[in-house]
Amino acid sequence: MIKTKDLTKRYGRTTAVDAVDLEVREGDRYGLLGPNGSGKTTLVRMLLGLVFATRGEIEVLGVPVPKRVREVLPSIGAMVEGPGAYPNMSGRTNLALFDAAGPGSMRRDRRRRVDEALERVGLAGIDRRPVRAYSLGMRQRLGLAGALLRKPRLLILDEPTNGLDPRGIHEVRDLLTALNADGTTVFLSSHLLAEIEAFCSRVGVMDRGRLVVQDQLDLLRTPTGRVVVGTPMPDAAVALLDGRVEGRDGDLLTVRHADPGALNTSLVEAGVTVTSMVPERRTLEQVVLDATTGSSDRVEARA
Amino acid sequence: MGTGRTVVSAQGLRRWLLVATVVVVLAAIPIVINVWPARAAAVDPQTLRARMAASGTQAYQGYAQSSGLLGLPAIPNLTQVTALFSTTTEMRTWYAARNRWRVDVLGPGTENDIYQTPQAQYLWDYGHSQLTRIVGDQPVRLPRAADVTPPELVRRLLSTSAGDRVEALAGRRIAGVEAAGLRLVPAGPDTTVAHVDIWADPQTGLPLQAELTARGGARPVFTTRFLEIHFSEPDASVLTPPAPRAGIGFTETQAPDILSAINQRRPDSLPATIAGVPRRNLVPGLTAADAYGNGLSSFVVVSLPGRFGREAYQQISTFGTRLDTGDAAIISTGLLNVLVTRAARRTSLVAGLVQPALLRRVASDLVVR
Amino acid sequence: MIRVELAKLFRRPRTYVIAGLLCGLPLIVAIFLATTKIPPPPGQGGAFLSAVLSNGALYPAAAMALVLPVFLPVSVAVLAGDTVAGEAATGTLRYLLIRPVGRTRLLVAKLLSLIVFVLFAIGAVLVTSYITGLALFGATTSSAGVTLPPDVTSLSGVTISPAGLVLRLLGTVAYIVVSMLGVAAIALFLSTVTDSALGAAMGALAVLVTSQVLVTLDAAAAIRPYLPTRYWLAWIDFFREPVLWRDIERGAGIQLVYLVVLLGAAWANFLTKDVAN
Repeated sequence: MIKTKDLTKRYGRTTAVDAVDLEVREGDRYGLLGPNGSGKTTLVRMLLGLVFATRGEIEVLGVPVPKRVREVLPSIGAMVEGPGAYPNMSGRTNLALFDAAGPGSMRRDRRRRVDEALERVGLAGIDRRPVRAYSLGMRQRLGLAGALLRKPRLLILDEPTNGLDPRGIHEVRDLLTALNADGTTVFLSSHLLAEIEAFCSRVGVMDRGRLVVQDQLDLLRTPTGRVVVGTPMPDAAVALLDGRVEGRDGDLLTVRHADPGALNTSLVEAGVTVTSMVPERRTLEQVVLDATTGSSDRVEARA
Repeated sequence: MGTGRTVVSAQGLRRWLLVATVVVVLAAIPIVINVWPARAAAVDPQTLRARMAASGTQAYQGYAQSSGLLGLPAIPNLTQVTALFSTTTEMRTWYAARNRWRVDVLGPGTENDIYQTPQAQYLWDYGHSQLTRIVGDQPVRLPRAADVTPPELVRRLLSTSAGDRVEALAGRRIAGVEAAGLRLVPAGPDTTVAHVDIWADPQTGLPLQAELTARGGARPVFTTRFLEIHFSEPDASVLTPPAPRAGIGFTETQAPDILSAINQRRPDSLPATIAGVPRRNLVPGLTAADAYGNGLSSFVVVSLPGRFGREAYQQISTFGTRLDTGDAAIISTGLLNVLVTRAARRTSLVAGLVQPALLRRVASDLVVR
Repeated sequence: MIRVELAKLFRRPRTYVIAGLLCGLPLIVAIFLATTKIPPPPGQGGAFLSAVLSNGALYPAAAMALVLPVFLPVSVAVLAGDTVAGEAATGTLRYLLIRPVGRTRLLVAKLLSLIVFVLFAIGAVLVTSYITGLALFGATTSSAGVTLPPDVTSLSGVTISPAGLVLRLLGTVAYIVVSMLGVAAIALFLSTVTDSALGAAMGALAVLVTSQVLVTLDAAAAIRPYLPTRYWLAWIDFFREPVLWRDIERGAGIQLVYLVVLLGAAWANFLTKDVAN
């Protein structure tokens, strides 16, 4: 669906996006994770032909961008760096205007499509109030409705849950999951690790313009070779496992062991009661920390 | 732009090049039209001169512009004259015959028109919403815009300069016409005019442009030319003056300007010669004003009565140079020189394209008298 | 796209505020003139103002002369400066572009909506000033009982019939629209250069003020015919008899040149410009 090669964008001396090879496959729920200023938004803008790359190639839905971007844009729903709407008009008017502005929009069913999109994002009951009076969350939902207006094949969403409350975030996640199940590829960017971890099947991590990690989420979360064992008899277990216990937190022991099954057997045979047994996997946070070198917004004193 | 090279820089550059090309082409059009050589119409200057002098029967419609760089101060009651020589005047002209023509002087948001019909002359002043019908001949009057359209000015110059030398000039394109040129070099030593360059339509002889250059000057100080010209008879409706009606002022007069007004008051008569220059006696019975001398060396003397004379004297002597020969002052502009004298409560105004030296002689003559 | 732009234009309260201000100036002037009956001296002050006292039907022309030199270009510059920069500021520009709306198409639609605005504003000024003129300075009633303007005196002294007056006013409106094209193109171009709508409007006004100053400067006579404001007042020539087309043609020509060049520059700049803010 999206493929970039050596994609680079420089603003003067600063390099916002540095040699990124992005790959989003059909049906993916792709999450692009990175702190503010890591180049996510610039990358998204380049995918949509808003910003032009200094170097590199982009292909979206099999078509080169920006050369033929106008062919694919009708099949893409997008939200870039927050919603944009004419503040003096109602949300409904805004959607209708944006719909009328572009090609291939039927006037006949515009009303119905606008209503459907508003319904999907939970704004079915909005009145004629101008967008000026909307809360940040409402605007965010309106932006999302705009992206959904023409049943896109690909959704490109930059920070889609900004300004939403936890319930709103949950609703949006459910909506995106449902769309994805219907065959829409979803590409979203966020600086919130938990959000990506909760929704995405594939993850890319940006760090100072570079794409440092890109893989399936389950493949990234490799087993650490440790097992977390819960037991009411921790002392006995420690004595038995002798030196392989790497951490102890009350009744929970972190044990270095390759095979949880064998560990369980040996503990039970030794008469140690086991209440839980979980093989430890790397957290996404760990993945990110390993891949990145330092906080991008930290300013170190010069030596 | 601003962000350095991008994958679309080449495209952007091509677009800018296209825009730059359009700019260059558009800018070049007027320049090329200007420098495109005019096919010099080879007409013998004497023949051309004769054709010009006889061009009074040629009908035309045009847009003319005269501009003077003389820098005369505004003299009370004479501002329309001084403006004519100091600023640019835009005129529309329609000319059917000597007794049927119209000249509009255009100003921003205003207009002053002269209509000549076989019966009378009409003046229309939009600013004052005033229509004036001039009854009878005007033996003397002030110069006005209609006198400086190229045909009028050139015919007047040629009629008084029979003895002056004529040289051929290269042709020029004027208002789209390939015009033939000649240069008139005055013979007399007293004039300030170095030469008058005239271009005219070679076929009809209609003068299209005239440039007066003063002695010692490189650039013409007075230019009049057509910016548009059509050699066709104007529509009769254009030459019909507005009819008097309610809402606009209407007067009939025999003396539309200050000079003819003065003449009607019969001031003292002018001498037969001044500074050795003979009076021309242009109009028999005329006492207020007359011309002295010949051709470009001639000057005009006007007697100004009482209060008006005092005002004019004060104004001119403030701007001009006082002479040591009694109450007299000169304004020198390089081309047109104006003298005012006051003797025995009589004010005389002398003006002409003549050297200040001549005017000084005139001054001592007038003051002593 | 043009329909969308028009919808945006006429749904913004700002459009009506500006048109209201434009109508307000002639109204204020008319009230002062009608109460004091002191006309400006002929040839000074606004064109036609001195003639208005005796002839209310000429007030639309006088209103044009009042509004054209400053008020109208300022409002056109403000609106045109806002076109692209304003959309960028509200964040709607990127959503239009990914809709997708072609960038060239967007520029043309913006320009067309500006033209419609000028027409709308002038129309409003004409209608209000006509009513003002008749109400405050008088009208005559024809035999058919219809209120007609009294015969209007042209600058050349000949009367203009009511039908002729309407034609000439239409010509005036068309010419003023054309005159505003240059301003609109300048501000539109600047609007693609900067993200500040105010900056673009100020830039365009700076160009206009410079041009106005140079027009009156004899030392700059050589470039005068090429200045964007040189022929702005040429619409007055519609009220000469016969109509003097020379300056009107030149004015229209120079505005078209400015339009082509600056719209071209806006196009060249905007089509490869990064939309990021």
